[in-house]
Amino acid sequence: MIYEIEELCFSYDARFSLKIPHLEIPREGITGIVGPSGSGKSTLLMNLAFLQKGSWKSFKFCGKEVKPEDLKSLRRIVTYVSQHPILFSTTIKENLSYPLKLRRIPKDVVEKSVYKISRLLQIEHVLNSRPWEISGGEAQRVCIGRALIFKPKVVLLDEPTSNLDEENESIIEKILRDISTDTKLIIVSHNKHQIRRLCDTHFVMKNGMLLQNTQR
Amino acid sequence: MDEISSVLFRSLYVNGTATLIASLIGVPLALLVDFFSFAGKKVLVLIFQSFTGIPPVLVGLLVYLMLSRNGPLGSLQLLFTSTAMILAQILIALPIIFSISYGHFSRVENRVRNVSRTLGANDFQVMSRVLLESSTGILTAVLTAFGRVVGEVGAVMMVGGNIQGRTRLMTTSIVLYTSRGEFDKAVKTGIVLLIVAFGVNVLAVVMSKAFHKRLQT
Repeated sequence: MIYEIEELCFSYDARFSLKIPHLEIPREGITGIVGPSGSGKSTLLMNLAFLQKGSWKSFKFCGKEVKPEDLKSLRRIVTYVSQHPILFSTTIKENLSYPLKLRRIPKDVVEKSVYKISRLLQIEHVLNSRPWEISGGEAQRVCIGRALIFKPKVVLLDEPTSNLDEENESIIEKILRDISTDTKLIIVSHNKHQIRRLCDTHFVMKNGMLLQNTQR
Repeated sequence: MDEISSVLFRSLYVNGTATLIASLIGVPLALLVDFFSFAGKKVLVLIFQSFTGIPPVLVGLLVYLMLSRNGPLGSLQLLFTSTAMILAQILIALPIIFSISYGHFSRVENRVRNVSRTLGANDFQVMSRVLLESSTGILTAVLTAFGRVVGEVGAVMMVGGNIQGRTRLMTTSIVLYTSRGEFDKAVKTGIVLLIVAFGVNVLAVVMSKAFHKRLQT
């Protein structure tokens, strides 16, 4: 299992709390989390991305117990793609190469990686464009590419196609299926059909609680 | 070199140095205040914001008292020198640069910070990202501060003394020429000052518009 969690709790305020008694996410394939708006899917995803820290009885990642001091280093191997594409105000090429530059990867390797990922995601034609010059579908693909380029162990995607038309939705679903052979993907969506189409395992959430675990 | 040219270059030196030093202090300080949460943060920001409108003569008085013979820094003998004028203008420019920069940093979405973190950035790299995302805003802050100090007269007159060939600036020259009734010289210096101030302000407006356009897209 990539995640093994016992009694995870998180709350913003008195009105909402996330309570996960037990959660196991397998290392292989695509895992989905489905549920209505406000059910706590994104909050769970932020906890899995180590961007929010709840309280827990046990939280294991790759079989190793997570300690508070590990969160910063874990963020370097688990990445998160938000529902609304967030791109930096620079070229798409710079956006894609950002995670590699943070890791001081040599320039020629960065160049090769950027072209490889842009071919895979069909965004070669926008490499020199700025974020405000590309479409929503292209922006989402850039965000996915930027998350994949440094080969993280897990990519968490929050509603990856919710703002896109059918054509872009199917392009991104195909890309996600292709990359899932090498990278563990965890997808949050309110779209049950998409989760069934894409995921090998999925969980249903409601009111901050995990209701069921379904395997294909 | 004629008098107007020497006064122009001295003015640019004093105003430019003060703006540069205030930027080197104000921008990193605003970035740190934006990044970290601590008790009294809101009060600190409020103090800086209030000081953006401080009357220059009050700054002049403060610096004068500090540098005068009986003041805590009197032994440095800096009163009536360019350094004293630079010091006064730093105190005028610093709150402006801090407040405008802080405003731009705090407008950078939290999601940008989270995206940087989840792509592997450490705290320093997240701050660098926020700095880059606000680069046009910082430029606006620096140009606005420069625009303010270039037209400032009260503080530099008090701590500089308007000494010919040493501490006379464009603004203090205009005051002197006018008091002597040498209106042609006053007007000539005024036109040069106006061109400098106008140029800086045009640049600030253009940069600010570009930044807002970027925010809207």
